[in-house]
Amino acid sequence: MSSKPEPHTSSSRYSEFTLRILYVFSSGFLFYEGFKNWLRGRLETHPEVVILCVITYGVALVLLVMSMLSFKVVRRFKVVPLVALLFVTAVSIYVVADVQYRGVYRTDSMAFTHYASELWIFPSWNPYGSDLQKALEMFTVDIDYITLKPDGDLVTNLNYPALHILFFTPFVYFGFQDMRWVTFFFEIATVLLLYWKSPDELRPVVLIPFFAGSDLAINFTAGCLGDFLWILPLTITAFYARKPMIAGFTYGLACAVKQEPWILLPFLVAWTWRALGVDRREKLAATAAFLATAVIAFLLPNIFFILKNPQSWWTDIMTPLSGDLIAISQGISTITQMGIVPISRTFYLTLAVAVFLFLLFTYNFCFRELKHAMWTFPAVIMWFSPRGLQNYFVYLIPVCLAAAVTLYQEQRSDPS
Amino acid sequence: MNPKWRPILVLIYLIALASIVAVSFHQSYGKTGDYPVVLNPKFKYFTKDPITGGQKPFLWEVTYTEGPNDSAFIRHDVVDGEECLGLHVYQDGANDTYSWANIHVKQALRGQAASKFFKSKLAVWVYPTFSFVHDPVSKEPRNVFGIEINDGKHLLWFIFSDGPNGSYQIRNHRIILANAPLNQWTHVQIDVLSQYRQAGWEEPRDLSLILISGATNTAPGNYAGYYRDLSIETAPS
Repeated sequence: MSSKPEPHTSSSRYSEFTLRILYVFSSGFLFYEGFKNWLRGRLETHPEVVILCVITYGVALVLLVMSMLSFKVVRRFKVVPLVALLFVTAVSIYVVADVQYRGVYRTDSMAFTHYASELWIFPSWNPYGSDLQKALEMFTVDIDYITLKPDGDLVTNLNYPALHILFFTPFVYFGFQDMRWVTFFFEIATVLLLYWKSPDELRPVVLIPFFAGSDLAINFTAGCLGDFLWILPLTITAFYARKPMIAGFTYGLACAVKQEPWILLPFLVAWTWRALGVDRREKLAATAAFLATAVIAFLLPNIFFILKNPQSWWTDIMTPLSGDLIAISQGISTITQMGIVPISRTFYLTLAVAVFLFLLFTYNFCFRELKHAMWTFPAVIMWFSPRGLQNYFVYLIPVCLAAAVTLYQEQRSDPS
Repeated sequence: MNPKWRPILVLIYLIALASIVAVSFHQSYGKTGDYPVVLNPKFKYFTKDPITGGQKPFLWEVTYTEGPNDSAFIRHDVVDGEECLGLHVYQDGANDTYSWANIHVKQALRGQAASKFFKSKLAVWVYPTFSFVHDPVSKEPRNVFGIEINDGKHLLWFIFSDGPNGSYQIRNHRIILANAPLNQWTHVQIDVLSQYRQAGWEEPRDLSLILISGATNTAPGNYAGYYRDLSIETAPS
């Protein structure tokens, strides 16, 4: 007896197609990373990398074959591409961090935050206001990634809010030696959150931008950038923007890790005021709830250090904003770094502030059109600043994905 | 607000922003004073020196001249409670190939950095521990603790010691004696451009800024000198 075939609607054909694309994409990503690891993994002295390369290629081939099997099989194992992507990400981070970079920290920021997370629990020691240069030697930080000030001095203070170090503290306490893996946990959580919060029909495509290049998924985590520590809470903010308590709290947490999300504050306040509530009272309540929870979440991890020495805390966390860092950028100020347009850093600061004000004005003026575009604004503004670095741009991709999913769901429930 | 005013408001706002940017551009154009002249002036982060096998402050180069039984090394020291860079030399007095046992801790300044350096004053905290000695006849130095400016043609030495201030020149080598009491920290300021002018030398395009300490075989013994917080005080452009 033959079973009756399911009617093939356009939407189910599309779902089948996108799922197959995810299999093919994952296979391609595994082939790419497998080959990169084969090249950079010092296979002659690292037998474990040999095994990992063989497994990576094996999984890549399995995914490729599976992409061409019946839809029943493809659908049953639809979680396999996600697992494979996370697997190869972990493998590549291991190869890059432990084999290629031989375990040394690539950035001073991770060295300082790791060092501070080890020592702040001693009552007499405050990481804010302290010179952390010892961390550079302790973690043999790559000399190409030392941050300089305009007077040529090295930045050796802790210039992030306190949650950055508090996230590391328990791991340090339990003997973790390499904070890259802590960042990786946050990365996995971000990926899983995106996958879990996306409706079924979007899942095959939602992760593709995340893995479209190796920088976001692999190289920056392996290269000691800790941005996933704030990207995870900010992604939650994007998903729960309509729930001001959750959005405010997670936004406050993101701001308690790094300064870049601070840029979003006036946009998020405008969004909350304009998108939530019907009458003035409801709008006020939503905005107040958002702001109050954001302030609480920001202050909770910082209050201990603020009370210890408010001036040191303030001076240190304002380092990136006070302009006391050398101009280095993949943004517009590259033209000055490369000697094409001789102009001072002050101009780029003014330009960034002007762009910020322009966007704030335009956002309120054209709210309907720009409603969800606010998540991209930190990247746009930083691109005009004296220090517009690659990570300031690409790390907003997961947040934009969350916003895109939210927009999709809004439109699905209200097509008008 | 009356909707007919909105486009005007937008226009005013945009013109105001554009004006601010334009004024800032006008005021900032041609001023590229952001890039530092001397890198790592506080001698932070000691890294492994692949050439000497020793340690060196990040972004500085270190060269040693020493005979078989001389010794010379640099290290991160703490003197009178201040973190600093220590230059330590032992001259055994033997008649080696080179009469000097010395250390150079240097940074090359090229193009714009050199030009900016000449328009600025160099300031540094120094801690000398020995007196300057020179040959009574030829006036050739027998030991040194100071700063050398070397442009490939001329040598300019600023020597920090407990003797009186003064200067003299031997061929292409100009020596400036700057008083700095022994065994204590002294903040000294150096005007390289005025010394070049007094010597009648042309301003070079490239130069090496060198922290120097050492002694010739005519003055054997242990020598130590310390530096901290070098800074370039740039004149407003």
